[in-house]
Amino acid sequence: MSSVTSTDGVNFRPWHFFVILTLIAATAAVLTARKTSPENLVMVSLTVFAAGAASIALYRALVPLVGKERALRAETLGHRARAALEREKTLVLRSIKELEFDRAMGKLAQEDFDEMSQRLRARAVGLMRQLDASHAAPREKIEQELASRLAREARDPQRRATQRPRAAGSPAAAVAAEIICETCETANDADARFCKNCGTNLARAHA
Amino acid sequence: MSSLGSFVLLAAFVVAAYAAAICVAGARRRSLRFIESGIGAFYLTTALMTLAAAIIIHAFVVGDFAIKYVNQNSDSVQPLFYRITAFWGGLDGSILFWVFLLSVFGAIAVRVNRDSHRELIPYVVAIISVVEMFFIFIMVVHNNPFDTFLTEIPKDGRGMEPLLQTPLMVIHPPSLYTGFVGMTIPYAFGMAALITGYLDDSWLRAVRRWTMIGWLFLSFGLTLGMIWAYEELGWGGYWGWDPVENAGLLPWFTATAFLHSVMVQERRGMLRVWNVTLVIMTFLLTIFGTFMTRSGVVQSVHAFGEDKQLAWLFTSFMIAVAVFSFGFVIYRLPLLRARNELDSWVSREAAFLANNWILLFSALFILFATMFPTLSESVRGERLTVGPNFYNKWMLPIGLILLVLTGIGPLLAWRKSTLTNLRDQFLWPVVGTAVTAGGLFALGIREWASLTCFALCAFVTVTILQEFVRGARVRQRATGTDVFTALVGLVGRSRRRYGGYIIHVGIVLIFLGFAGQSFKREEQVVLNPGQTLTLGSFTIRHDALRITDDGQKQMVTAHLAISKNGNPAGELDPAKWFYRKHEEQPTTEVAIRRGPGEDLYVVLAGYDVQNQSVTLQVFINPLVNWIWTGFGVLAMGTIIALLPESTFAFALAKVPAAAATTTTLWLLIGMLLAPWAGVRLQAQSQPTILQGPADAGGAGGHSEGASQAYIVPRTPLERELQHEIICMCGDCGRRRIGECTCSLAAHMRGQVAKLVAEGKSREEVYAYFMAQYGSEEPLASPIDRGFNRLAWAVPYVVGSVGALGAVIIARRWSHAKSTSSASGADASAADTSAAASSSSRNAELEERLADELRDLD
Repeated sequence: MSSVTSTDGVNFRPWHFFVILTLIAATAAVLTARKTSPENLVMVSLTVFAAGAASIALYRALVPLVGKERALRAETLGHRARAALEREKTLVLRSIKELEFDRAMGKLAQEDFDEMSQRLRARAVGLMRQLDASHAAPREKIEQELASRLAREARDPQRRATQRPRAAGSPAAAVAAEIICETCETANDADARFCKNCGTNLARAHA
Repeated sequence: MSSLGSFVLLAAFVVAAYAAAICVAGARRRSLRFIESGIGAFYLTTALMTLAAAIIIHAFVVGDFAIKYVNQNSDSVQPLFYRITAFWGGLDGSILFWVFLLSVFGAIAVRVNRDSHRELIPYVVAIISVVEMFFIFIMVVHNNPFDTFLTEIPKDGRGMEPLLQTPLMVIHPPSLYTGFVGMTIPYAFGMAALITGYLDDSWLRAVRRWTMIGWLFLSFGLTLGMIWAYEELGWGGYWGWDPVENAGLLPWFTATAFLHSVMVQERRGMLRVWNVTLVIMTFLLTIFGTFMTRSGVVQSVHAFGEDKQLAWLFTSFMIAVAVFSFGFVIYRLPLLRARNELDSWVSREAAFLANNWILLFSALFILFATMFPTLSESVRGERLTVGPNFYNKWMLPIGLILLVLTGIGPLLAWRKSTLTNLRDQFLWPVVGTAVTAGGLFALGIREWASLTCFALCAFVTVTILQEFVRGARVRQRATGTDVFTALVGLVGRSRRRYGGYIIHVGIVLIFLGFAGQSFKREEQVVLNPGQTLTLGSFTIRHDALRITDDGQKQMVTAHLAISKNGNPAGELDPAKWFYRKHEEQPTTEVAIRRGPGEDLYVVLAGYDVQNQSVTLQVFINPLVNWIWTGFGVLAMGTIIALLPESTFAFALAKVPAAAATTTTLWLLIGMLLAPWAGVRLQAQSQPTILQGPADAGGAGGHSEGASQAYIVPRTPLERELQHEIICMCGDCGRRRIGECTCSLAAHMRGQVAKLVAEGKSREEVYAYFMAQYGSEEPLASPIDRGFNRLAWAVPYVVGSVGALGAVIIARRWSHAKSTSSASGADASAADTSAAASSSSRNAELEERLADELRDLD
């Protein structure tokens, strides 16, 4: 129900319409009711409110059908696997905590504790390593990028000055591994042969 | 309005069907559009059911007696409160109420979990919708609460059953229904997980709270039912193993088992198939409970009468559900394999396994015993009775075993306990048990069952105290706060664990109350004015018999003066009320003098206006109030387990701001103590006369003569026989003749007395009644011979098969361990070699691990 139908900052949403309609209907029903005992009037208005809620729900059920089709955002397999790893890790960490608590409560012999704790810790470390690996790809890339960029900036302060305004737009521009098009100053992948913006032959320009 | 109601029901059916269909379609085609629409339709069903409920309540409020249901359950003089609650006073309305509750619960559950369990939601919606459809279908084709009279619209209704016109009966059914409905949500999530195959533990997280809420309501409903039976039915007890009571108890057992075994899955990744099975069974049992009570398959106080068609509808639905559910379980079996193994037999996992076996055995046993009369009728054509004696015989040891496990479980560590720990852990509890047992024995208590029960109660209490004290000390050392903050912090940090312990305390109190039963004393006397009866420490003097009328009913009241140990202790006024339009069913108004130690419970069983004499049934029920108190504690524990983390935030801080902590702490302690004090106060309050109608009944042989004189049992054999032979009036829910208040029971008591006086033995008395009624029906438990041997054999068989199954599963796990330990060793070797290769990285990881562990607190 995020579709906003009105203007001027007043967010008139469709359900507001139904609420107003319901209020009007309830008032009408109460005014026209033949039996005017308080409990009757209360029940009549409650009934009308329930009907109003039903109409909102009906609207809510029908609107998605006429709306744009959005595919069910399939969580990437990697994401799910990562979530499972995270959960597994939390579980193991909790188990370690529990184990320590049990030991402190005197429920566990020291050697048992050592053995189990070692096993669990090894498992936790293993899981952490796996987790690191699963997002190592993007992170390492960023780190590399950052390092090379810093190095480059340190070497070449002049160039930095000229690039400053553009750098915000395309942060990767100054990375050594990429090629800056000489005509339009767009950053291109290191192995690009043509500029993706203007089509200049990069290989020739650099050669 | 009535046609609008029928139309709304039809519309709800169509919308629910649409919701189910489009959600499944959306899930299969991965179309968010469809799913969104389905969820909208699901909310629409809720709104429509609310509308239907509002319409029927409106009809009750304005007294629209053209509607049959309103006509049957209400009249114009009924107070507004009862006119509204008459909504769930009958069969049709209670189905409507059920669907209404289910749709509300479902809508909340879907709303709450919409984002966190995106992939499950479409199937959850579909499954809840299908369940709703089934019940709406029943209403539309069979029990439409909006049915009207076609001609001759009556001016006034027939009035609500007087029996139900009590506040207890007003909250009891909604509470039970809420419990039942609450169990549908876990089922829907479980099935959604099975269908989608996302069988990690995420669905359990979504479901746990719902199961706890459902469980709480179920417990609440059962307790209310017990209080109702105790205060209104007037037979001196609270649990008669009536099929309807059993129906509520069955899912309670499986839900309890689930709440325990879910911990094993969360912590150890075991019992995955088992948990899904328990959820499915709980759901099936809630449906089965409704089926039993609504279709008249079994005889009961509460049953709404026999209904073959309804029975068929329910049976086919249950079969369909069972096939569908277990089919999916089998289909998904490969995904449900256990991830861990049993390290040791002396571990908490093993204790949980035992606990599950016992709980499931209880459920199956009660199910079997409840259905046995029906089974026997269909096999041999002879209807039998499986009475309280039979149940008690079995449930006594089972209850004691459960109590033992309640104590032992927390003392065992996960995975493994060694001898030294065991000694360390069990020292105090065993000492406590021995001291209690010895003390009670010295005091002269020889009732072995009660003695054991008291001793075990002491065992569990000491266990729990020890857990709290040791835990608080550990935490105090770890966080450096004062003991109380540590205690609250402890509870706050693992609310489920310590909430669970508090629930166990409640269970102990309840068991204490049960154990008191064996010290129950009862007497039946005829008293003329001025005469007294002394029972235990109480003396009852009959002062006067008065007949009054308040326009709605005629009241016959006996005025009794009570003294305890010679000191005046107020007055009790047991009564019989004859409601207008229901004169043939007088209600028994029990008078109870409550106390923490014992209740004095007086029933006016009969009277003679001529010479002012009264026949009284006097009971002394020791420790009964502890059952209700126990439930209070249990509810408190459940609420603590359900509370969000932030409630305890103040005590979770490592260095608490002293002032704030202390004040909040005292506030909290005050809060915890307040209900307790309230209960105690209430318990000690002076004699209360509980108002409200009692006693089921109606036509036929069940009419209560105004001047029935009771025959006081003389010999022990006669007394026992009164509890071994049941009343055959057919209306009292097969109560034992010593308990039933109808004239037939009085007559049968007379026969028993005569036979015993003639020197007949127990078997001869049995034979006499069997000959008189042509079957074993009048006997409270079936004689152990022929087909009936089954009744006695099945519990053994089920019990041992269950035990065997548990052992086999455990063995398999242990076995899995021994084979997998080799590969595990390989893996760990690989781990260590990998670790060696990058030792600096490993140290860093270890450090991070330590950090995270510190943060996890």
